[in-house]
Amino acid sequence: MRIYRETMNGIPVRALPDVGVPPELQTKILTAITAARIRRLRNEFVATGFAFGIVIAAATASISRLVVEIRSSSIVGYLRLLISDSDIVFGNFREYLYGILESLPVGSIVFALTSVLLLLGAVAFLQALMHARRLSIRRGMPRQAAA
Amino acid sequence: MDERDDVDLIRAYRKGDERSFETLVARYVGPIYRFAFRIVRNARDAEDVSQEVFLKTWKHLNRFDVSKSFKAWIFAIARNASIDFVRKKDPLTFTSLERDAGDEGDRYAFDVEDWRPLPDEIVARMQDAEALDGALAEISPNARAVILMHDGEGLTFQEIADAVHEPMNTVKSRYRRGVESLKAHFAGRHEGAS
Repeated sequence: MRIYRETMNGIPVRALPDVGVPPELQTKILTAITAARIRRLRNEFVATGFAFGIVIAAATASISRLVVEIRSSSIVGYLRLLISDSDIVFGNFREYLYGILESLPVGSIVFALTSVLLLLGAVAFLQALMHARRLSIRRGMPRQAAA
Repeated sequence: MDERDDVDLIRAYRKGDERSFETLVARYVGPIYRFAFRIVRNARDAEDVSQEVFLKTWKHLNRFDVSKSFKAWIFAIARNASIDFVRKKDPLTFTSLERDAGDEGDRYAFDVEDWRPLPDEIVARMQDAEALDGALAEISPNARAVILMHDGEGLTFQEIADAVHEPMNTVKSRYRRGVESLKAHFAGRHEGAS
């Protein structure tokens, strides 16, 4: 308190002449934030779209490779055996099961499953972005601007 | 008007309620604009700075530590934005004012108490208030920012120091130096009048 009496003639800073706040400032700020939000969503949208394209390509390639490997592996023969000689299969089920497991193209299956999961994740993220973007665009001008 | 406090609004915003941020803007747009105006001394520039402050706040709100004071945080953003603006716009004046303010030593820091402003009722002479406004414009932007944050907004030295990431003694030192400059300004004014 002493400082105000002695140095500022007892005038608190709170009593400085009022500075009128421009009435449209709040609207300007909210509009700028809405624009920034839409810009950020657009960038995320483009990046996700790009990632989506890569994941689709990877998923297609991995599934094609998986199909080719399954066709060329002995797994098809094992499955045919199950239909044609099921009594032999059930009589030697453990060996049959090991045979099938050994013939599975595990690497391709893991790769295909991973790419499919990534694809599903990208779809979900893209949907969330589209939802957020719809909200931002629908809102357009902020609440204060409309009032 | 939304009665929720700042932290509740920030928590709601983080949960997806974007209207909460609009409430924060409505709550702080006036104080931030006035603060920026007193640093940059121009309505148009103060508008630009205010807009920048709220954009930065929005961008970094998810990183804000809710255990700290939001008010101190947003005023620290405003202080940095305003001082950067002054520095860019008028580097020569800025440098000379900061040089006049001396180095950032702590020689003033230890005898500064946490003064509170006098009640508004005692203020009757608007001429003096205008003179104080003019005097504030003459001191360094850094010292001005501390005086405005401490005396104008009621932030403690500790809150200011935490928010601007500077030692408390540096903040106190700036405050004290600013007040000394104002004292010199008023002393000169009274000598001139007599």
